[in-house]
Amino acid sequence: MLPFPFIDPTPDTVNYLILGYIFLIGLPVLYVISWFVRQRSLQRDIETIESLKADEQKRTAKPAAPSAAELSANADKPRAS
Amino acid sequence: MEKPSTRLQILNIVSAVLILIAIGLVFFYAPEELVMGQVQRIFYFHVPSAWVGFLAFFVTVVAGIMYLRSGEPFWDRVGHSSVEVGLLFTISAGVAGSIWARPIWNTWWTWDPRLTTYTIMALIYVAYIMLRQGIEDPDRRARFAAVYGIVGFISVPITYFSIMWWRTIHPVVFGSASENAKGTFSMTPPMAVTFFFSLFAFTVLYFCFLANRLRLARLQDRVEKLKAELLAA
Repeated sequence: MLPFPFIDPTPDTVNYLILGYIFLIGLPVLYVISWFVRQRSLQRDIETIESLKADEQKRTAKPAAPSAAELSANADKPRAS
Repeated sequence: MEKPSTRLQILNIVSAVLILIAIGLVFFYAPEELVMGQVQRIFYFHVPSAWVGFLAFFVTVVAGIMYLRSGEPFWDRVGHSSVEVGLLFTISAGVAGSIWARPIWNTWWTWDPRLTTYTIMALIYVAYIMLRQGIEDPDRRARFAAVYGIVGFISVPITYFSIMWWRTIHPVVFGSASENAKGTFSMTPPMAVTFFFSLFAFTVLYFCFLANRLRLARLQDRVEKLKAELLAA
């Protein structure tokens, strides 16, 4: 083994370490944020679909049948000849 | 969307604590490697990230087999979620490895067998996600994804064993290293403790991510069903 003064000094690679950990920690964090964004967007989709379904049901609903009182009142009216 | 279950909340907290401890070990407990310097600390998260990728793709195989046997949409959701989580960790390990390589190999990238097979593996799973999106019918999509997930897994052992089958400059920390390898080192006990703890923490983190991603997949399925009902009405 070489005596101490002849050993290569340890290289300064801190910048690469920092850059590496920015990706190693940053990417999973961004991924977790993406869940929240996607979740919010899906919830908006559900709200939109449900309101569209409600509108559709209102449009296709049959008019309400006349009540018994209305039917008897109509029956008492004289018919136009 | 319903609140996460108590078990999932506990898993989230445990994963976060384990990762924080792992970060502490990496920066304050593991000694500096004398030849590579500080950049060697990337190893403690790079290898566990790659391991999680392999594990996730294996879970996709299991989910694919289970789907083909049972036809349960749950297994399709597991397979899809696992690929997404696995791909995230695969990309993150690849990028970190490239950053480590710059001062050690004096290049960001080289067509080394390990790097090449790793990239092909990642692209196979990128294609899995892209092709899934191209199929409208949920049953066909699930069947296709199950078969693709099983066949695509062939790339994982090829990637893992590439450093033993071919001449490579990629370090082999476990097993015999090639004489061309640049960046190999022997682990001291504190390095080994840090490494194995990180491996454990990332494995727990994988299951935590998978469980959370499954919740999102359930919500996506609900939206798809509602859309189909609306179109059918």
